[in-house]
Amino acid sequence: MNSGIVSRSWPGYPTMLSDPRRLRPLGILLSSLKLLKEFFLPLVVYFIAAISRRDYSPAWLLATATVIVLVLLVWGVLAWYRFNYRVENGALVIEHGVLVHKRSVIPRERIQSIDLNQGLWHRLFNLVAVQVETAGGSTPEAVLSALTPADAEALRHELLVPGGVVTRKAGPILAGNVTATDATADAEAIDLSAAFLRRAANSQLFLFGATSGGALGLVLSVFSGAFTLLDDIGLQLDWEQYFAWIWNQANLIYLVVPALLALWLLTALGMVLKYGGFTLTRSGDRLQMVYGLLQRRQISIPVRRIQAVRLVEGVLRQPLGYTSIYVESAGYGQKDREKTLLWPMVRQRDLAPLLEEFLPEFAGEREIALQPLPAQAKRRYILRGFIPALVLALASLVWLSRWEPALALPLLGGLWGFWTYRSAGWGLHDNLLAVRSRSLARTTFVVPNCKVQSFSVSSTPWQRRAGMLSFNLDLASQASFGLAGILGADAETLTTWFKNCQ
Amino acid sequence: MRSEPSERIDLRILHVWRISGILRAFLFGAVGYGLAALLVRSLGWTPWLAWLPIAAAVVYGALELTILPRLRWERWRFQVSGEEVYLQRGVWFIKRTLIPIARIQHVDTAQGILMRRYGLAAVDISTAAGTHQIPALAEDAADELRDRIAVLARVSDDVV
Repeated sequence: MNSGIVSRSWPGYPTMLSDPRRLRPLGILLSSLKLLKEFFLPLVVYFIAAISRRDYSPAWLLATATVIVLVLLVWGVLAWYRFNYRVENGALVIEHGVLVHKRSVIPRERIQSIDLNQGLWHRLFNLVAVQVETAGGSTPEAVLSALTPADAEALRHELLVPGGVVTRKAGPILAGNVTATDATADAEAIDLSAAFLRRAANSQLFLFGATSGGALGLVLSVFSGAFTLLDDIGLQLDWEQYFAWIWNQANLIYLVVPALLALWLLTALGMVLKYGGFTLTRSGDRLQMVYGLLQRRQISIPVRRIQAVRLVEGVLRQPLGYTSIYVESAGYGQKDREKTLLWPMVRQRDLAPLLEEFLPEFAGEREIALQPLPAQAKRRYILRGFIPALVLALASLVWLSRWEPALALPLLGGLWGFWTYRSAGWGLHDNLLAVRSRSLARTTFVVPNCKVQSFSVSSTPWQRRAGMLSFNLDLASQASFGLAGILGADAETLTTWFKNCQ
Repeated sequence: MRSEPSERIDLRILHVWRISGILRAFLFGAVGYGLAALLVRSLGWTPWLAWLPIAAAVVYGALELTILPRLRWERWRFQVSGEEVYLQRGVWFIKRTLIPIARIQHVDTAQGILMRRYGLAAVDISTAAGTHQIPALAEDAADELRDRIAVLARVSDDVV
């Protein structure tokens, strides 16, 4: 490929990243597509308007389309031509911009993580997109949209390993397996020989998809859609008659049930595509997650950035004994929670060994004995579910004049309140605090005291009368969690734990 | 929990709170009336329902003019030691917050138009998780406190 820049194709040749380099030519296409995406809506509007005009001429339309494609391509070439990057004095320097020339300098110290992604185009040409993230903001600080895997890896080493000499490395790094680099040449690089690696089985990922909220939500929404449809075609929800009718229309059941099953399966398969080949690696002080069958993602997080571990037992997963593990990390993935999925599903008994192996910093979790909330808190929790449900029930009684929901809602609300009470608990071990609560999924936060940014204790007049308190912790990942209904003495214990950061 | 923080905020904040409270009540009343009037018109409710938000806004405004600012001021306390910033606030919902000095990233003073008129300033304390505010100190006291916290925070440097 003649990119106008001296190409280095000798294996083992040390790449000096101090001279500016361009992206691979795929970058042209990607810039064009990005521009197209930005102007997609106006273009669609324009074309629809053009077609619906009376003196609509196909030739003119074709000409316009050609011009647009040409403009896009020229823009792509210009953007690609202007874009170059280099590593200079320990900083990533990027110059870009077609109309306005920009130059951004990202010092190595500010770089939080460098992630490699592969979209469909990338997979076709075996290239990767490099995302450089810094602490501020939720969007990547810089995106290098098309690099060869070797160049990407070289750049990553250059930026993440202080004073690292970079050697080219053969083999696709994103093939899901971490190929061992020749460790001698990579003296200062991350020592991959000491790395731990674990890969999720596809069957497990399928189960992950099948039990995901997405699958459940889809099935439910299809169901409710069907109900409203039946309502619309004049079938009032007279339950007895309705079920009788359904029963008589056995054909419909034969149609609806397989359709729902198919949808569910599709969602599950979608999750397998998204998270397929999930691989977790721990090398030195970095965690790396690689996943995706079509679009390949690689996320790496320095362990010291991890603020807390979130263990989530979904409503469908808890009965099966499965937990999903997420990490809360500072300045990264704040918007997109799923980005920080550490491990899709693990059996309860395998959780502690997995943490032990990949996040020993949080392995103390297994030592934490959760204590339930005091009995005085029970009534409060039940009321917290009951009262809003009662208000809803009254509203439905007034406006819809139906008594069924009015009866069922407060009962369900109260039960839900009791459920959340039973699920809640907290416990301490050394520097770790575990806080467990539930809205629907049972979630357990595990956090070391030094990662807590601020600690609050609050109370309402009713709580004060009962001698109860709520506590709340704020983390640098913008997560905030706590529990209502602890005793004053417990708040004291927690305060002591919090202030005891070494 | 342990005892209250020791220091109070500046009493002149009462004026600021009263004025901003009244303005807020006006805003609530206007928006609420607009929405309710719209609902009344479109759903054919009885017309007096539209006056309900106005009544609520009047009650709220009266509270903001009389007892609420005083209660809020009584509750608002803070304390800055070498280890932590300790805050207490809330009329109904009492909240006490501990912010270790080591987690503080930066400290600002902020002053709106009303605050400036009364010679007051707020101190904003930022951690990686968010910002906490001490709402009202005399300008000099705010500057002094800001600098004091900044010095303390610099001494005990901590990485996120």
